[in-house]
Amino acid sequence: MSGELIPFPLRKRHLSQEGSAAAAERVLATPIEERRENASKLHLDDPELLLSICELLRSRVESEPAVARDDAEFLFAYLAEAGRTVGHFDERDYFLGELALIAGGACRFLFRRDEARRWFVRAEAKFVLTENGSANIARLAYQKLALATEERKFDEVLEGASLWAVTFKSLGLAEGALKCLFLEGNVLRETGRVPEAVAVFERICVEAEETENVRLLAIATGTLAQFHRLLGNVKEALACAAKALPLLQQTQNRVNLAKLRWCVGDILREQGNGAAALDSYRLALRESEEIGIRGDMAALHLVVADLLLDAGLDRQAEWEVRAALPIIDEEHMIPEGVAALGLLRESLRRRKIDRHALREVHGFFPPG
Amino acid sequence: MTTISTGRQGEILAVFDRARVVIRAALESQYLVPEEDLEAIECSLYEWFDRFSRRPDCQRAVVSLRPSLFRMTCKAAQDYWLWKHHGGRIADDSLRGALSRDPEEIAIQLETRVGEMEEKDRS
Repeated sequence: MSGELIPFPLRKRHLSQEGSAAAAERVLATPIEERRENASKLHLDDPELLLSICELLRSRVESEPAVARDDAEFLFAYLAEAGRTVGHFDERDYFLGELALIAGGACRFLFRRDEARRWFVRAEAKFVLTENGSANIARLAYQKLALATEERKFDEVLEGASLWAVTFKSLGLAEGALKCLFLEGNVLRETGRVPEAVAVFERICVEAEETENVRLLAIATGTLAQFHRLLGNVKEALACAAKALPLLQQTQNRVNLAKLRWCVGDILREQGNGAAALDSYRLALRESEEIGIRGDMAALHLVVADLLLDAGLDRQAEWEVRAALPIIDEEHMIPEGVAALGLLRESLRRRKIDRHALREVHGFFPPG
Repeated sequence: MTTISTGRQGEILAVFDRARVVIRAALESQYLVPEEDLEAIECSLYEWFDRFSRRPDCQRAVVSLRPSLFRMTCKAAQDYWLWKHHGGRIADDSLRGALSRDPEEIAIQLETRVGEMEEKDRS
């Protein structure tokens, strides 16, 4: 090897594939404010390490989205610094795109839609420069469609999801194709076509089981529990919830675990067991608070308020609404629900909660 | 973690090993890379391909990722001469011609060559 070749992308590899996994854990366990000064000791620009970090962060998006977002943001900023080189050829662009995609996905869970959109723009700008860019753009397209689902752009999602499912298959990305079915099923549920949504999710469960994709099986089974509840199939709903719970725990999917507890709360409430429902909602709320899913937190406070009103506990209900409103304001949530929000706020001022406004505001949140 | 099954790791090695002959030939004969620098470029290409095959967007069979390796070979040769000549003009006409060709076109050519080698091995 010629000594003068150093500036060409022929850089020394620091970490082995095996060592990188432990090193990735070490980096993420290091407080963010200490990482920059220890960058060379931590090998922050080592491509093998970055590959492991990205894999860890992808798994943490569903367990600790706020932490995953902060970690991805730090690494993106670090790698984006002028003059920074990473690995060979397209690797710097790839890692920048991947980190931006992770940050954007985490922001979506955190209900920070504008921020998510900005990260997706960054991801796209980097992915187009990478080898196999089309597959990365497809992964990005899925995230954008998921965001559009949350923004209730249902026609756009239905058309896009079926188009991208075909593309994912032709790119050999079976999981991506399956995830497009999730979007289709969720839109069917949102547009009142719940039996069709159940059929879609049953298909997802079969495919996820066949491919031993526990992560997707866990989410799909949890979602089926919600859909069966909506159809009044309590037995099936509880069976799905019982099956989903250990799977979600196994895959450490705290985002969907919180949603499952919320769903169980709804079932218990419909069965007239208000006290048990309240416990389940509180568990969901605690889980959402711990992982920073502020959208679910606000919605759950409103659900709990509604339940407390049922029980005649108006003052406690007031506190729940008072807990939800600052989150809604700070995150600029439900801009389309300003009128209902105004009525709710006014009723709170009069210390007589407007039940209709409360439910209308709650209706603007994605279902639990 | 990104530590992958020995099966896939073996696949990565096998695909690279098989492609290496045509990569070396292209670097030597089309891109006129001096012998003393060949190994370093090949080493970079192997490291890149090894990690590339483990990206989440590259979950299909490793052999189907081989055209990407060939496209990157062309990119490596371009980067190499760009660095070697500090971005200046390259005097050799054949090298200039090779560097200005579409990497996709060269990748198809290399892929065809490997395909022919595999066909020969089978028969």
